[in-house]
Amino acid sequence: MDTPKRRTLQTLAGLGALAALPRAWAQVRAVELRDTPVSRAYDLSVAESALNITGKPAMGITINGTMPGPVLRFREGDEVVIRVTNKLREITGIHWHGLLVPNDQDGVPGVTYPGILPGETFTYRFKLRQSGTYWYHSHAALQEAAGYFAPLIVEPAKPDPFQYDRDYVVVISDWIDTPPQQVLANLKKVDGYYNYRRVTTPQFFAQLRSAPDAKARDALWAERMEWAKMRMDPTDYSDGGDEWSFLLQGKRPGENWTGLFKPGERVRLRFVNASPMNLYDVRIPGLPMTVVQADGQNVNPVEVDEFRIGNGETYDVIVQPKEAKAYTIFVPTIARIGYARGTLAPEVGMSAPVPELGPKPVRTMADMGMAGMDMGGGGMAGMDMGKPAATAPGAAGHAGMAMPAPARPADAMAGMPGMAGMAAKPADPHAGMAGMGGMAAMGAAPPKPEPDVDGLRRLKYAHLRALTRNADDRAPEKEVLVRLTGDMARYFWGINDKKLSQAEPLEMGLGQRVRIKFVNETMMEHPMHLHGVFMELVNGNGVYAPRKHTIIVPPAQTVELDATYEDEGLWAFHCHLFYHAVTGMMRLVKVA
Amino acid sequence: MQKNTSAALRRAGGALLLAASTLGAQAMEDESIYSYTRVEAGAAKLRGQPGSAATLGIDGWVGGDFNRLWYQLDAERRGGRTEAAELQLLYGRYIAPFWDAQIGLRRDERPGKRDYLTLGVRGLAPYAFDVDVKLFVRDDGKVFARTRFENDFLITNRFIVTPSVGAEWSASDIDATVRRGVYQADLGLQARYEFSRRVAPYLGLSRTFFPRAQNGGETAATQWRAGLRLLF
Repeated sequence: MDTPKRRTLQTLAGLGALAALPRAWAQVRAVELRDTPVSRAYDLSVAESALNITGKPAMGITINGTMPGPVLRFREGDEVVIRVTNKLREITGIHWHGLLVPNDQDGVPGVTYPGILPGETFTYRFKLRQSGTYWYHSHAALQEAAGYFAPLIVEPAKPDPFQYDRDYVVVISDWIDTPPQQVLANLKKVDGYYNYRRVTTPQFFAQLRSAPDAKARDALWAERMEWAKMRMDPTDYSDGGDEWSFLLQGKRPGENWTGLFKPGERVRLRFVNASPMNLYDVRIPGLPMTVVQADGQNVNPVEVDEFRIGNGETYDVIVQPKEAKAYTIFVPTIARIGYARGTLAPEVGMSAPVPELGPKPVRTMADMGMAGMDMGGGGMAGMDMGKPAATAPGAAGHAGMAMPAPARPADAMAGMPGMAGMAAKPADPHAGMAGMGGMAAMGAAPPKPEPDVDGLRRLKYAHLRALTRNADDRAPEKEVLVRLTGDMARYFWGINDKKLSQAEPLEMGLGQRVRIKFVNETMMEHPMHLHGVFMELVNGNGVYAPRKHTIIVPPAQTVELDATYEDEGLWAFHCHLFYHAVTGMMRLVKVA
Repeated sequence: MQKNTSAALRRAGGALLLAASTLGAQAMEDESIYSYTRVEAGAAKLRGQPGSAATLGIDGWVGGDFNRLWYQLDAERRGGRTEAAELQLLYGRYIAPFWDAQIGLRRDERPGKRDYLTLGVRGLAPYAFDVDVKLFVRDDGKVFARTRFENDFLITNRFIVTPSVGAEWSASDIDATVRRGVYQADLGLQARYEFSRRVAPYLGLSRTFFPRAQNGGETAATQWRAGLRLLF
């Protein structure tokens, strides 16, 4: 049975089950954040639990018995205590994603502390130096991918500079019954083990037949040959596939998680991407979203119809539904394999249409910054290759801004990836202004999101502007080049051509202003997360650069950021696609 | 004072423990051992000959990203008798993206018992050709080589057709009927349907040529193969 059909049936089965059991509705009604009291102390217990996500029982790892685990709600400035008991049969460690804590509280086993041994309890104790939406998760091996994550909210000491009547946490995640270690073992066996969405030979010939003229046919042929030559697959937007389920607050689309509102109320939605495997595009058809925070930090409010959320990122949006009807929160993966779904409605039991997933995206050589390909937007981009309008944050539709790519032949590759032929182009139209970052306040407002060809206004990184001036306006004293590398065929990943186990820690000074230049030499997005520091994304906003803990680096693009480590210690940084992190795309930074 | 000392000791102990475990738990993860084994079990039938042969092919590796132990077995039984059996055990080293260099041993049990020192290169060439090139030095000093290229074409994402080309080469005359050079060439086409990546029935057709055969030597032959391909 083909997938859409199966999904429809799943959805129908889910709805049927819910109709038959009216009580079940109570389970999918969203709990408002304000119903969770603010606390200074929590006890967490981590254990293996049987979860039933797909209709078959499978083992996962839960915190206090649930997936996601319990929301922790704190107040800025408080000293908090969290006791974590490890009931697993292996070492564990909880990392507070995005929180600035002393190094020994950061929770990376084998790096910041030995970890929590089976049967032991570890007491975390730290003071909250910030507010906003964050999350916490295991930082041991692939435990996170087994369901071991939860949201963490820090209420601000002073009220946030925006109003809202309701407050919901929306954690997006993915799930497969296969244990994560087995998923990884499968990916190591066969390149694209889970990818059943490749462009087949007959599909390719159909494209050729429907091409308007000989020039277009030549371009298609050249494109196909170029991919084959590079031994890469243009449908590689996710290492996962149809066997995955996509969850919103741990609920399947058919369970229809529903956040209630009264017409006219302002609803705050705190999106967290806790998925180990997939990036998502978030939209609520019929309801514009005003982004007010990114990674827990206030930004100039910006109204959009869709935003892309990388693994580990958080976005807070305000929506104001005015009609007494249901709205679908539609969260497809960027590979368009499937979607997570929820509903905003005046009462439980209502639902709105779920949009079509749309065609599966196919990367073009232009995406990959290949020289010699038609970058003018005409040729490739115009072909109907099932590619949705440019959605990558930062990867705005501005091919014309791309720097000329050096024409190195793809087979004269150096290093691991076989990708050296791809030249990194700036991910952002303002990247060229990098030198000005941190120097001037750049009074101009950030560019407003313009509608794409499909009429949707999409958030790009250039639209993010910190609401308050960043404290550190010094020019960078040091530049660190971080090339994201890997061998996709063999499924291992690296930084500067080395896996974590092969590399020495990078060294950065305490208080030193550092410019980090991420160059993605692979063909997948890598959401890069730095522990222990906020990154000020160089996006043309100068000292109003948005402060982020996780930044998506799109394929073949360059993203720059400035950071000032203010806590000593050995800090991790890594790709937040966990399967990439554990196979090598992780480094340590020694701050002294 | 005492408190300070014990705090310092504790810190030193912690540092030691960390030193031991730093790059331990996390880094070990990217050095894990994995494995891959492909088994093709089925039957082969030569056109124009009665009866069929049972065939078994095993191809796989165990190891990390850079160092692997490769193994290969090819065997054919006909009428209850093993007619051909060849085993290879090779150490493989990742030398470049998509490529391994290999060194090891090949042992033939049938038709005759023979040992070979084996050197190989295996990987994925541009345009996604699977390439397997091997050089064999037999225990009597004679030198042989074997190459094989294949490429997957997706008819659908599960129905895959794989054309292949193979050649056997000898540096010296093999016997009175086979001269040195490329003494055998195979053209093949295999179609498989992947119910999953792990289970796929296959049907194959191949034509074998013996370009160096003299009068009385072997003549070109067509062979059908069918069976089940399993991944472990």
